[in-house]
Amino acid sequence: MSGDEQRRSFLKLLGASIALAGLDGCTRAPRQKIVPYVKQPPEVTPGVPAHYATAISMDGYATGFLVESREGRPVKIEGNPRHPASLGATSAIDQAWILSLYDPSRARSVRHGRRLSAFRDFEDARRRSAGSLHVLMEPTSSPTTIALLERLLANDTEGRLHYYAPLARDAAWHGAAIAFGRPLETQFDLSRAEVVVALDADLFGAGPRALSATRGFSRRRRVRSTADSMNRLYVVEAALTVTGGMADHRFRARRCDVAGIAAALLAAVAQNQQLIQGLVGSLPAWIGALAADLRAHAGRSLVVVGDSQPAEVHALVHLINVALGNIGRTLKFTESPIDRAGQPSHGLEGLVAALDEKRVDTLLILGGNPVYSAAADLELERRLATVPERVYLGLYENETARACSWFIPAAHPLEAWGDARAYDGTISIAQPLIEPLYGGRTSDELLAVMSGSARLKAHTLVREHWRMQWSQSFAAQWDAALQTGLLEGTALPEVTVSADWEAVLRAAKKLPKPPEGLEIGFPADTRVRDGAFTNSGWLLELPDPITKLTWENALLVSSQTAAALDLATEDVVELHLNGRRVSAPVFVAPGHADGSVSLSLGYGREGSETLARGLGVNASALRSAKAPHFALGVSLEKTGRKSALATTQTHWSMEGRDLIRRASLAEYRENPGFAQRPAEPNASLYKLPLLGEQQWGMSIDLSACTGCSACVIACQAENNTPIVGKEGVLARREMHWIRIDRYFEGTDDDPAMLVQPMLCQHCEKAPCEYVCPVNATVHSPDGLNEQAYNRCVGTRFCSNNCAWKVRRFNWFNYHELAVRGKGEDAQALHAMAMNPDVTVRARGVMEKCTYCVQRIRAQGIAARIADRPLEQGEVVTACAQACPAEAIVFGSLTMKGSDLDKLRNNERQYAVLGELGTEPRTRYLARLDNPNPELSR
Amino acid sequence: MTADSAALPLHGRLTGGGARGGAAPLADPPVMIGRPSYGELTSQLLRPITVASRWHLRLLALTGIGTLGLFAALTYTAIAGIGVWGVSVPVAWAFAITNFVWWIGIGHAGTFISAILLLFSSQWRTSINRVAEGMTLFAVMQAGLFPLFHLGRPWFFYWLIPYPSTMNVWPNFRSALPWDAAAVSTYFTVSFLFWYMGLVPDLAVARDASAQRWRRQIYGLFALGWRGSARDWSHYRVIYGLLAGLATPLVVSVHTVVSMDFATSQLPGWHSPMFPPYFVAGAIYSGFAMVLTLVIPIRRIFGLYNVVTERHLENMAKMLLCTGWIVTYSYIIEIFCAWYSGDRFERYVHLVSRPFGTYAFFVWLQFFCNCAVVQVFWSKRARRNPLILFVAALLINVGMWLERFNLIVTSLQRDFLPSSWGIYVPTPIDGAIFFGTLSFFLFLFLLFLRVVPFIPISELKELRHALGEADRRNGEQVHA
Repeated sequence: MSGDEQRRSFLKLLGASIALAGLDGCTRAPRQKIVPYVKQPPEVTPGVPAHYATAISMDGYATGFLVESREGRPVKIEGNPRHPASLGATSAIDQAWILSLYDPSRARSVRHGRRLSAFRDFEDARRRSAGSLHVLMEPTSSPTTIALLERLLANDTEGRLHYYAPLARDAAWHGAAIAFGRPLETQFDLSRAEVVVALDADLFGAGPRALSATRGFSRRRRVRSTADSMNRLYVVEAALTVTGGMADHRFRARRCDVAGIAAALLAAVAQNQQLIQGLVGSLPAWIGALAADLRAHAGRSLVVVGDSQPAEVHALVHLINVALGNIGRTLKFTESPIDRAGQPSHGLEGLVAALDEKRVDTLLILGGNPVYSAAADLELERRLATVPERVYLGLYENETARACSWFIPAAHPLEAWGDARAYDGTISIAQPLIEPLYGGRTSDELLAVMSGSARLKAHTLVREHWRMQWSQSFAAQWDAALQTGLLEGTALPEVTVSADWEAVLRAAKKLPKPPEGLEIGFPADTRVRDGAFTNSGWLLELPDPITKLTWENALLVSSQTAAALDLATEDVVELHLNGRRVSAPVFVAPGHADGSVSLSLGYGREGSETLARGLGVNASALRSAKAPHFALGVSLEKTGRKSALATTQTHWSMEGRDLIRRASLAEYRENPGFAQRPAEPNASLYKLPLLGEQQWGMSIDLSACTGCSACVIACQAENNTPIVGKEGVLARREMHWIRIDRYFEGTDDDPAMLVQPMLCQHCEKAPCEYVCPVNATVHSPDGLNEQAYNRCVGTRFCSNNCAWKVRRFNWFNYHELAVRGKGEDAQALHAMAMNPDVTVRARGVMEKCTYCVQRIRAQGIAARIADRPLEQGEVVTACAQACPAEAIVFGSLTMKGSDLDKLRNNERQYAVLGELGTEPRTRYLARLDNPNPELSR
Repeated sequence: MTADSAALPLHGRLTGGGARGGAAPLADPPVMIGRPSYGELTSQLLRPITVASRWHLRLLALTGIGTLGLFAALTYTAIAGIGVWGVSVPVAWAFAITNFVWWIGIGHAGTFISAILLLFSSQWRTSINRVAEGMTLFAVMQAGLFPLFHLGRPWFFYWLIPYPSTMNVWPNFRSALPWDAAAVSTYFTVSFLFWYMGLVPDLAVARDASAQRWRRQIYGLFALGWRGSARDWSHYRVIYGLLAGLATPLVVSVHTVVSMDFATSQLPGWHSPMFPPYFVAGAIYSGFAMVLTLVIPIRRIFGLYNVVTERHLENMAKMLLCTGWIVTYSYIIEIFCAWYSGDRFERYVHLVSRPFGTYAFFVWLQFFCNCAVVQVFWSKRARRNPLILFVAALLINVGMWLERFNLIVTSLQRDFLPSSWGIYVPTPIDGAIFFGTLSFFLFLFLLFLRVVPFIPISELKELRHALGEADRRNGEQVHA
């Protein structure tokens, strides 16, 4: 640059800093070339979405989805209304599969040792190899995979199959084996139960049935008038879960004490104290009332136990249900859809024995991350080193990949052909939404290669498998399966059972009595589960429904335990368990059982492939294979250090403000209008006429919302909301357009947990609109409070004046920061994950919930083109669509007789901060509880 | 006008006595000590701009560096994003708006002294009015930085100004922020014109007294060809009075408009119709404190004891006491009304969150600095003691800054929904910008002291003439 130009630039910069347009201040869209199709695929019309049915499995259980595809790539996941595990809803984790598809940290190439390699080299190596083959994979229900495994191991007498997942349901299957003689799957139907007891079971938050359980429970709990009845939920648990938050009665107990409670409950229900002689110490006072309630609803009740409890407890609970006559009514039993459920193939014991005896020549690890997630005392990494050939098929170069000699990149579930069964056995054929971005392979393809067949694509493998199953009209059946997302009538048939009381009681007596002392539990994390999702920014930043903690885990401790040990939130303690030690920050959790602490799985990863590198604590480092879910004998030692924890909500008291109005069912029947206090102001100086044909509004039933936060991620996926990172959350800059406010009412030790989804209220007299200096936030004729991103100058007065604080500001260019330093194509991948119907906001601009205006307008246009009015249910917001409890209802107030219209006129309806006179369109139905009059809550 | 060393009259009022504090104990101190000749006055008041001093240049360099730091911090903010500040949701406004209100408030005293006191024909305004008005200008310049740079997209600031846009969108006139833009720009324009017009005769004096040709040319340029003719003086009188008349309502209106930023919102602690008079009183309060902070060192350094006397200091102290009590009264009424209203949110902010919440220390410090410190001025001795005045003025300015900070941040951090409660912690950039504006202000002020006669020469000569006439009249009275 010449001297003149230098001076000129310098002066420009100086001038810019005083008052005028910053040269680099405006963010320019990246220069990318748009390339139109040379040959446009016939089914792809740019701008028009197509939906494809598919299914994704977790630990072998499939959930069916409808995935929206734009220009040949998937952008949004919705539930498949016909699939039993989805019923049209999705969970937060389900929504996040989109982001992990476009993850720039995904592994891209085959690796052998330290060198990059090719799949052909792997095939050659395999052809030349000999010796016994052991396969380690996550439990599966896929008919194609099972057939391929059979074929693979048929020719190898030394070969073995090992199924392992940290959250596998072995205890449940063994429990059924004890009670009924063989491993069975429990299928319950909450919509038929009037009294439900959950023993350490997170019914609505975890497991393959979470969505259908929430739906069933919510249906049975729905009250629209004083004539309706409600079910009743009792929960016994150590750490609060969303299930515990819904409970009418919640009892805190250490996980190790649940066995005794189950036994006591059995004796009380069967009214035979002899049964449990020697099993139980003192009975808690409430067992009697609980048992009485169960007996009063015999045949219409349900007792459920969580997967982390030992098999003996499951068996005891089976007896309770038998004694209550619930079998065949509120629950039934079927074979398990999971291959070899309850057999020694499940679990790592067999593999560990084989490794020690050097019986493994080739180990094929298909998916999962066993080196990270296996219990620490198994020392899997050390043992693996003794195997000559270790092959890993995975999405990331993670801990397991680093321990293996061959690494093959896996195809993402949205890139893969396959099939799987739901929890009830319904078969779905999973079709991919996009060609594998990095040439990833599926397990089926790898198994085929391993068994010596020619390299076959997964599509061919699946098709061939079903061609052999279906004798006639294969093409029609295949198309029907892909279109609907499932094979009709493939649910597993009910199995008649007879309970073996002797066996159960004998097994239960063998359970060791839990001593006094501190127990530690290792629950699945609500966001990353067992560590599978530590690369998903959406899930990492999703606040935990109970603690509102983001980006890491913490040691949850009850307030009494914390007081006794002089601990405060953010203090770092060292945990000692059986000679192993780990440091963790403390989080004082209201509602946690005394004498117990919890540390969730999935964090403490160190590899550069994970977004959560260095965040959180690896709970698996403490676990032992004998006691993988909870253990006694842990001790805590203060280190004196502190570690900042990023939470999105620091105050959990409502401070006496009438934000979540609640009453018991009895109180509601006495005073149906209880939620209408205080009377909201009607007087107004002027009325704003709203001229639109539709007047959009929303109603949220607080009796139904569990706080699962599926809506939060659904909204993030639909509206291209960025993540801000742990530092951003610490600075209170999270960007979620809908959040779940979580309050505790009552004592620190044993509070009631109340949740409330909070989003833009779309006030008719919006306080944010009159304070915007540039008219960037205005009101539409159909009742939406609109934000014009390109007009916003970012004064943030609107955020100050919003009493609900639902507006979010782009403090930095978060989308750019998300891909900085991640490689060249990271930006392209990031853009692929975006919903093309929604603007990606720039730095310095305010944003908030728009009632999914893109969906409203799209449906409106479609209706106009077809020359017909909009119908009820045509427009559904992302949050309402995802909600498994059907808690969020969206619609137009002008559609007389519609769901929204009815809910708006319901007597339980109220507006949060209605006394401010802003006339919000988002209203809430007051929460109802159904406590047992015998028990004082 | 001839040098006048008339016999010293016997009465205390309007006499000098030749030495400091020669007046009788109960009488006001004199507004000018001694009766210097016009020539003596001129040379005394021109000396600062003709004689350079090392410390002045060093201070200029120091504050110049601070100013560069300010520009660097502002540029960084504009390039990287507002996220480099400590603001978040709920506290989306903090240091920037606090500084904005504080600086604008400071400016009000200058206009009060120049304009309102001119219309009241008070004599003690004469020597300090240009310093005060300069302070106003430079304060408004600092203040103007903030509404610009606190924007998320500052390059679109002009959308707040009503102009016929091709987008066919006008600013939203219901919002207080375009009113702010209008008020602050009007304030700056009128203040600048007022200051400059008043300066013209003195620039002519400087021009005529300059030794070097280049200085004569520059002062001559800015003196706009002032000849000192009767016609010039007549025009001067008219425009000076006119601008004073224009500036007077600004003293009340500008800070009223600024207070509307808060009063028109619905936040507890902001939504109060009392804000306009309360803010205006507070503005004059902090402004007088800043005038004292500036005038006391200037008086000492440049030896201006004879033209800036204890009378000036005492009157300013009395203004502080008066406005300080209005501010105190406002606090009391605010808290009482919050309690009396029964409104849960108002009560929480005023009776719980502010006195006992996260920022309780700063709230009590504010009360101490604003309400307690000024009570010392009930004592006449304190009112005339430059050291006490200086320290008190500093504390009052700290208190007034804290008042705006507490007002903004505590209302935002704990508002309606406890789920969104948070705290605000400033970042180094926030601090750099605030101290940068202090540096920039001082830089401009020091430049002003160096370049322009900061005590009005012609006006003081008028005062000297008036005092001489009064002496003569008093002397005649006695004789008669």
